[in-house]
Amino acid sequence: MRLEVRLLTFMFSVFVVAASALGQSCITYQPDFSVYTDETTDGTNIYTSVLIDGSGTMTYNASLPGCAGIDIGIAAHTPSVTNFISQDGGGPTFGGTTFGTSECPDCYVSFSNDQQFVANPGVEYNFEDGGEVICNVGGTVFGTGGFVGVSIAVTTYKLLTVNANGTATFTQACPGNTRPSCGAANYLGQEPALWAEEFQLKVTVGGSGPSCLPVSIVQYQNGPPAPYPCT
Amino acid sequence: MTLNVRLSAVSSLLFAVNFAMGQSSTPTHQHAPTKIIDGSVHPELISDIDAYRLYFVMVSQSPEPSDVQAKRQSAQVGKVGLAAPDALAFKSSLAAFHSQYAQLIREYNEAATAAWANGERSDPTLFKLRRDRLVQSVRESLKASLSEDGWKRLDQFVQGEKRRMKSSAAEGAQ
Repeated sequence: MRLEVRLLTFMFSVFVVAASALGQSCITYQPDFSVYTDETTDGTNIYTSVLIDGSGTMTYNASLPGCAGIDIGIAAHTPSVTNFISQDGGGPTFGGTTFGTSECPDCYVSFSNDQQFVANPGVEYNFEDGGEVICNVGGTVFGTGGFVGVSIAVTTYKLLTVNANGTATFTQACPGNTRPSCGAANYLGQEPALWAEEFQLKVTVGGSGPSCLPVSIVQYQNGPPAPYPCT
Repeated sequence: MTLNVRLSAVSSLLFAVNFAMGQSSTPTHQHAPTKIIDGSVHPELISDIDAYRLYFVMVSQSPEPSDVQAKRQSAQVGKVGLAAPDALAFKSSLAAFHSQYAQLIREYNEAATAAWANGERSDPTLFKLRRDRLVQSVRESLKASLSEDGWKRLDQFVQGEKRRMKSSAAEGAQ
């Protein structure tokens, strides 16, 4: 660290101690950030994204006793975003925590961490997300995080009827003893093929039941047997 | 011992003293306790304009995305369930938004950084007004350009996405 920065940090420390001794608050910070987490699939890959977006308001109360002359110019804020994928019982991991560029405390932050990985249908992956803004003087000024399970859910349907408008009605037909974790009893498809494979993203949050998110991915097949078991 | 090391040691000691004193007095560099609005619990407290902004930022890509970016975007837009023409129009609007949003932030941050270096403060009010106007204009443009069914699906989807958003109270409160 350069000598000038050391000196500034030293002076800042002196003011911090002096003001604290007086029981005053020289600098306050009101964060104004949002974190948005997204996960989706194209049937082969799972894509996860975590975004932090916003800014904050730092207030320097120079008129308070012991607070005059503080050099807040050394303060800088750095966003950090966690997007980490793992599996219970080991296996490969993906992603981690990435840091954006340091900006002035009044600056606006919009920073994301995107990950993708090839996912085996039916296998649940742990998706840990988080967004933080770290002040080099005051520590973490904003932080939040979460955790969900994600997996690709496949449901196999076989053709039931071809409708007059060209659409096709399919009925669930999972090969062997496989069972779908998502999917309905019937499916209205756009192509009159023998089989339809619908891909969805299954998201499990905490102890609640899973949510099934259609992702508009359907594969139509004409040759038996059905290509995928249900997951 | 060099001057650097001595300054570092004294700084650390002063911070330690401050921490100890802070147990019984108000800290000098105080960060107000962050109140988080958790959209999974209170989606109604995430405003529409914030939800659309976050969604547009998340899904938008530059006009010439990489192969991976394009696949990610298609997978993200696929969740909305738009018909092909609507999906194409949506991606096109998002590309324009992506550039404009980045430009807004770049301009504001350049000014804020310069002000900060001069010991001056920046008021983000005007920037946030322009930011929200941009989001609103894209939203209105999509409402006009997408099919009725497409707009309904998009709006419904964004409302549902509030469950995946968390905001500081000041950011998300209506």
